[in-house]
Amino acid sequence: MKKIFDTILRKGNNIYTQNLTPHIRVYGEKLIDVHGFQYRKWDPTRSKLAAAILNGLKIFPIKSGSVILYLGISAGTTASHVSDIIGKSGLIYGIEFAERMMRELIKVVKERKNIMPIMADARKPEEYPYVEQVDLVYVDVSQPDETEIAIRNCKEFLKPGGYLMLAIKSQSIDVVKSPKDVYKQEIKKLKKAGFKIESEIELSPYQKDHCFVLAKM
Amino acid sequence: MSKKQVAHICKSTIGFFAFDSKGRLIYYELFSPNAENAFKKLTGNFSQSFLKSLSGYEIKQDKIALKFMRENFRDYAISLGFAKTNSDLNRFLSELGILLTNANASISITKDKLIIQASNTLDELTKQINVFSEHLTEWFGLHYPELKADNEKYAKIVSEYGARENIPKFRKSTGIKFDKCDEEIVKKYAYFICQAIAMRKQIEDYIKNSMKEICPNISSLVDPLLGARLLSKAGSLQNLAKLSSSTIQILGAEKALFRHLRNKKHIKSPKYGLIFMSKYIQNSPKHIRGKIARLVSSKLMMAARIDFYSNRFEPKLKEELERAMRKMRK
Ligand SMILES: C[S@@+](CC[C@H](N)C(=O)[O-])C[C@H]1O[C@@H](n2cnc3c(N)ncnc32)[C@H](O)[C@@H]1O
Repeated sequence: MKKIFDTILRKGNNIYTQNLTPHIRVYGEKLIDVHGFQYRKWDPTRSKLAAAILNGLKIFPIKSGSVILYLGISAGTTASHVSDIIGKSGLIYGIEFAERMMRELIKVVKERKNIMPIMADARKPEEYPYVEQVDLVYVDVSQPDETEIAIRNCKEFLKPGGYLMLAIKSQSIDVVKSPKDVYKQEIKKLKKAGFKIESEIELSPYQKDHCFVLAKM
Repeated sequence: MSKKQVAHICKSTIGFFAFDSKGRLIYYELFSPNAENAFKKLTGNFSQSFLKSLSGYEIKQDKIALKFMRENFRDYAISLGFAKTNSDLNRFLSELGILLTNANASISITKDKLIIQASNTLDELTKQINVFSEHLTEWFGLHYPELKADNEKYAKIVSEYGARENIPKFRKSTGIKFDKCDEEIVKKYAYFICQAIAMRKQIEDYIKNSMKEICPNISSLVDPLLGARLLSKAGSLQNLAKLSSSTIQILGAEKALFRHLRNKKHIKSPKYGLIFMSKYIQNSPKHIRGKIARLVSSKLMMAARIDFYSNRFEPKLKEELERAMRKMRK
């Protein structure tokens, strides 16, 4: 058992975050107690961020107190672990446009109180103008124009020197091109928009044809 | 002529703000720091008092103001005294987000209202079906007084077979004869009652499913139909979540309670209201029913609060209730 990035427990190929809401599970994950603290197992087949960490993500800019804009927060599976890491002094602005997902998310929000749920289209930042400047933008919307959505939101909300985490699903961008070509093409767009690419990690065997990009603005 | 200075204004989650072109804060009006209040202000117009205070300026609501606001949001929130700490601010924003989302999506908050309507309709329909069935028995009884069955079966038989001669096992009857048009109309009426009974079943299923979704904890402790009646009596899930366990215990027995309050000497206060129908009380010996009612309602109080505030299912509640029951029965 060792700590990585100060906040995440790692034991072999399993990682855990310290449960902000002891005894409460979000998606049926396993709970364990270590030295009097409770931890939640972070499932890399359910969360691309967990898969990226296990596949060797070197820089991890999410810290206690971080403020994050999360596009495509869905029911909050990944967000719940991010919420564990940032703690009560941090905040996630969670954008999601599917009502059914929002309903699930709100259950998680009511327990954790460090997520602001926002039902809006990530293509229209003007629907959430009151979001503050953030330390990191996390994007997982599985849309063909995902990279453009990410860039637009970073320009609007990311602080200078802040980070972008982008989960690219090649299938939703181009079904014919090889995944590698899709990643290349999307990364080129990021560079052109002025981002510096810090890491580029494929997510197999946890997620098929996915690439996780960490970039700095 | 001197040109008027520009005030760039914007709405933020913590108040209305105005900046000059260099990003200096000219004026602000903070919301009072609770989510309900901020929700109203944020979704409404700029206040008159805010706009009046900027009467010397040319007012522009634009992205410039938003940019200045964003960059210093946390500093302002804390230094201007809106929140003491980041955690307080985050808790406020998370509650505000729920209100905005609910308003946007008409979700969760309104679902309990739908259940209440369905539950009221169900109770009314049940009453009506009983009245209809009595009338049918009287009506068809003129023709075949020997036919005995419960309401649902009775309506089915008449609707299916019509005249007594068609009903299986018919031998003879002391009733009057029906001609074709007498038979037709009573048969149709019976069919109508069957339909109403089928409708009642559908509403029941709807309530059961919705209750399990919206109130998973209440539904684990009592029949979801009873849970829905409790909701209806309280008026909303939010109201139910505010009630004390002793109020929940006598919910639905208001008449008896008022009788007691008017005449404390002679009329006892009621032991239970709707929850009397719970199987835990029904299946218990009379002398411990009062105790069991207290136990069930205290667990129901917790269940309502969890259902309202987090909607998370806690199997623990039912286990604890049943453990305490076993102890009491020993
Ligand atoms: C792959 S899922 C995200 C899973 C989530 N990040 C996790 O790991 O727990 C993609 C989500 O993005 C949402 N989404 C897609 N396009 C969107 C848009 N334009 N605006 C807001 N949400 C969007 C979908 O409704 C869906 O819930």
